[in-house]
Amino acid sequence: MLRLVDVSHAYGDVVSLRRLSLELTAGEILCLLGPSGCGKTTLLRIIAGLERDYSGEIQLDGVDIRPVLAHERGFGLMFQDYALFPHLSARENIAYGLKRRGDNRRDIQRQVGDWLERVGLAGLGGRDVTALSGGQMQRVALARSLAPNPRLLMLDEPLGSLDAQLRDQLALELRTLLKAAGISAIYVTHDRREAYAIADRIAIMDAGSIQQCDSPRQLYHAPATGQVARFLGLRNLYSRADNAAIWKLAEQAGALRSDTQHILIHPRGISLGCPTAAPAIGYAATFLEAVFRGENWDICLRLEGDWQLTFSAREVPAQVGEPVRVFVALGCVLALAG
Amino acid sequence: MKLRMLMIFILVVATLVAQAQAADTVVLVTHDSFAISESLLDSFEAQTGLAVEVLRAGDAGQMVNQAILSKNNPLGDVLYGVDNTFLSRALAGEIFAAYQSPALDTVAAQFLRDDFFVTPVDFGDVCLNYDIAWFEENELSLPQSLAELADEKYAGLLAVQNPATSSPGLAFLLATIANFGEADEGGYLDYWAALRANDVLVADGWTDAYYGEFTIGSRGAGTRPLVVSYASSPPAEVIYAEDPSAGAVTGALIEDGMCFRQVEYVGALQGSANQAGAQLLIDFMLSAEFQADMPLNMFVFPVVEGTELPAEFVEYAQVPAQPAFVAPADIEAKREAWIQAWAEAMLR
Amino acid sequence: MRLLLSRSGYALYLLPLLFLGIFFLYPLLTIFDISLRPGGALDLSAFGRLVSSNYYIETLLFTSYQAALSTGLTLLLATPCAYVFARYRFVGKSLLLSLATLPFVLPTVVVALAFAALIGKNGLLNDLLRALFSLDYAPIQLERSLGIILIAHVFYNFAIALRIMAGYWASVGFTTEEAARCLGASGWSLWRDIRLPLIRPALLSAGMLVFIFCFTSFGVVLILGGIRFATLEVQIYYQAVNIFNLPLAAALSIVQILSMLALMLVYTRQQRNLQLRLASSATIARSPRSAAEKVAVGCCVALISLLLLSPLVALLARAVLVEGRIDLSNFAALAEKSRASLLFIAPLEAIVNSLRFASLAMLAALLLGIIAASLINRHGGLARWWDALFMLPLATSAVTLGFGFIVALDEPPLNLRASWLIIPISHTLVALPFVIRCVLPAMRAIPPSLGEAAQLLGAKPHQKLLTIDAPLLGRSIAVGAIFAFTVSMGEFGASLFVAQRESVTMPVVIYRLLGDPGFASYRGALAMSVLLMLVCAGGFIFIERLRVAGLGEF
Repeated sequence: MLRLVDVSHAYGDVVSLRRLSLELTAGEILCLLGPSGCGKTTLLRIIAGLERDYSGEIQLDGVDIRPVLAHERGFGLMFQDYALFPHLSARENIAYGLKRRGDNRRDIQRQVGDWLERVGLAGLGGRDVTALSGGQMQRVALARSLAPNPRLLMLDEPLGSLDAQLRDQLALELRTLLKAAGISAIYVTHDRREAYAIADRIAIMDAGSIQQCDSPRQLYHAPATGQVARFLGLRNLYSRADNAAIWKLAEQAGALRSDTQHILIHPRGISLGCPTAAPAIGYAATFLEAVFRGENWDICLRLEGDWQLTFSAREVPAQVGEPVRVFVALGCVLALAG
Repeated sequence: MKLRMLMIFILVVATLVAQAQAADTVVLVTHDSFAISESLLDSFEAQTGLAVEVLRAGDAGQMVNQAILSKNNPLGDVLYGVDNTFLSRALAGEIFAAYQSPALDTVAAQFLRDDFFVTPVDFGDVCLNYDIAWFEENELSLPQSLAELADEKYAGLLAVQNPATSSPGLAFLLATIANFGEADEGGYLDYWAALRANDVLVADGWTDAYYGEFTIGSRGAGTRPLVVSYASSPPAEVIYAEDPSAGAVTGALIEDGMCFRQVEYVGALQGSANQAGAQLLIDFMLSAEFQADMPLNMFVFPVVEGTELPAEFVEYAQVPAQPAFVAPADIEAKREAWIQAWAEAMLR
Repeated sequence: MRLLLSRSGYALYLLPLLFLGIFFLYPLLTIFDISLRPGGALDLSAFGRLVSSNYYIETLLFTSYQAALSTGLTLLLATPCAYVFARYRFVGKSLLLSLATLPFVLPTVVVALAFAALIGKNGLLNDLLRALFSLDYAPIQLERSLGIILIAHVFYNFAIALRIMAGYWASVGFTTEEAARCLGASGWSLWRDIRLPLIRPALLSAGMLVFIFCFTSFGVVLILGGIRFATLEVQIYYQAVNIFNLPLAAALSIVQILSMLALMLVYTRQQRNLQLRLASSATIARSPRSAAEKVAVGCCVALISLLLLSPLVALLARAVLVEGRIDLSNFAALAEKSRASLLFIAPLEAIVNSLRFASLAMLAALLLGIIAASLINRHGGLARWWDALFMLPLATSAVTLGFGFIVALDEPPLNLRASWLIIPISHTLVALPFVIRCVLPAMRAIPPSLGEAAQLLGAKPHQKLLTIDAPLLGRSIAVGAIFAFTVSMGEFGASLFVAQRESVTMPVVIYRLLGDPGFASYRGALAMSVLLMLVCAGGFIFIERLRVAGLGEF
């Protein structure tokens, strides 16, 4: 549905996007995940038509939309700070786009009522938006951007300023809502948990280009580069400079290729006591520490050959300094090209 | 929005174009003090079938300047109100078309001119006004000449206007120049130095001097019982007094050489649309009705001999027999130098 | 604002630029051309004359000197008052603010009479002091001194500074200050380290406007200052009108415009980098609590009463009192057509004219001013120049521009020189800088995402302007509107260029009545001045009301 080809952009001398290409299918929710300053917001602004100085192509259903002005694109954008109009009530904020579209008064009233209901704000429509809580503001902003039924909705870190618990809850609600409305969406975030929860596909962005674009599962299980792995929060990532024992392990696993830059030992292939999958290699290790993470513990071991492994476990297996035996499934030793 | 803007613009332009000129109109350009009875103008319009449009162009100086600047596309057909202090500038600017009105026969000889670019209409004398009661209470005799004003006994009594910005102020300066000449020794500058030593007060304009400093005009807030004003001010004080029957409270000093006479002229503007109408209006200004109407409206005296004056003028106004005289050409040529020299004398 | 750059946005931006081009630059350049190229060849000898004698250099120095002193004095007095107005709620606050704005509409000659009545040698204050201390001389002798020029400038400009700073202060709020207090700041250090730096943009904005006003001061210097003092503006008037030395007048005008332009460029550079965030919800003023706070409010009220209201009261007293008793016959006489004169204008007619012009000028200035402010608000290299350009009408002598109108706007479709339209047009020129100065800081405080959100919801540039920017700028627009209205109500220079009956405004009637002989016309002028103040006060109340109603509707 939306196709970006070779889009580049710079703020003065600072390049923010480098020949970036991206495709979005109808009804899909695509997450742009990346550290701050990687060009996510710029990309959204270009798609929205707010940024005019760029090169490359943007097509919507095969039609070049570069000359179309922002207010004529029929896209929705939910801002990071929500950008609610402080002089309007919640109801009037939601009605704004409908009014611009020229809907009649009664229709607007009905639709706004519907939306207030759908986002769980029934009864709060008359409220001054500055008097709403963060979560309520987020819902008003969402309803406002969805109400005119945009062809494409973009969300710029919409849950960024909320507390973690609310964030998890709203991310789920958001996905349900978007899927129910069948809206194509691009969702910008720097929080991988949020991205996992909400996305059909995730595009990892760094330094103005897309590193990898795949389903959350695929991405998690097979990150293409060390950088992607690091950004997904995967530990046990080793470079060539690190301990030779790891490279030997990779060789044993048959993963090593000539262009390999990093070795990743995926956490699902690490276990204590007995291997999770065959073939696996067992190592003697020393238990270094356990960090309490709530449901899990982060376990850290020093292995023979003097290298370390970290993984999650339900229980603490031993006392600090005690010897343990750890197994690494060879299928989970990944050689990364980047 | 854009369309609406465009429509408004077109409308405005259309109105302006439509307004540009109605055919049977004569446009009278004049100064702010111009006033005349409405009925009189109505009768002129009825007699001639011409509509008169009055365009005010600031004070006399501003008006003449505007007329000169717009010489190639005149503001109107007739210009009234240029006086002898600005006449030379107007004539040098070649803004007038010559016209010899048949009504000139009736005008007093002293006002007639050799050229016919302008026609005299009225005159007024700038004189010192005094507070009658104050001089009686303080048992002080009235000054009989300008020279006497420098006498110690009149110290701190006189308010004048700045000749740079005020028409009566300039007239009074001209009177002193006519009296004392421009000689280095004993000339008008020495006289002003003496006035300054005698604590003369210089106000910016007539309003400020008369209502702010003059004991009568300011109703006690001011401290000066002598002020430069007009010979017609005493009858005006009576006419506008709360009790007109109480008689005069001020008088004018009209001894020979103490006053300066301002004559106001009218002329047809060169190259204007309605020359015929302009000439009719000039004739009308010399008619008996117009001449008789002026005194009470503008507090000036008619130039046509034998015009009947209103009762208050007959009773309270005096016309100086021998006002001071400075040639208009000299005024225009030396105005800046005189004023500059005056300012330096008063400030140094 | 960047979004306005789109196709129809350009058309919008053209409006104020066209307006300025046609009604300001074109007449101005035409008169300069006529003045400096009298015979077709450029003659710059007038500039030579300017530097050949000390006189004009001294005039320039005095002009700057008195303007700097007046501005300093105005800010010194207005800043603490602005703090009190923004911070505390007290009875009669908005009334006091309205009254403080009234001096702005009064013609200088009327103010001169009011000052004479109040602090003249035989004025109220001297009489009082003489009686109190049994003196045989007048203790206050300010007439025709630099002192009275400064007092008059403060009298005229206090409200500008007060309104701009109080409005800004209320919008930045007091959280920073409270934080500083917690860290131990107090007294003078609180002012020096926190408050003054915080309101620097408003301080500069207000200071700039006041400085320009005092720099181009005409009536105050001429009438109250007397012959010893002359500003450039006075010199320009004198050379243009009395001497008709157009080359010299043009040279002086150019010097004046260039000095102001240089100043404005420095100022706009200072101002551009400063942005504030609107406090999320308006800071709510509170009642004064401690004794010190009550004293501060009291001092502020006393200062305004003494400085601004007492001359107004003296004027009122002169208008209604005759020999110690109240006499309103002069008000009644205004309505009578006592003289069957052609040019007698009923006061009602003049009031209607004044209101008509003021409303027109206000609306035009608001429309053009808001668009111009958004043009300036764009972060472009040219923005600074636009800002300075729109300020220029304030720095241009009225007589120069007036002559420019006469020579430039004389042919259809711009045959405006004899049309009443020239009055609201010239008022709009002068009112524009006020609207811009009021609106721009607030506009800079609006996050750009609001406009972008509106745009993505389908708002065209003008819809965005009307539905988002305009209501958010409500308070500053109201202040701008009040100044635009006031400027137009009090201005009468332009009215003197045009002549039809429908162009006679209230200040013109005052001016004419003062020029007429007789005590009755003098009292009539005072009555008219009082009416002018009343009509203006009514206008303020109406505009304030309008704003509150307007906010609810959007």
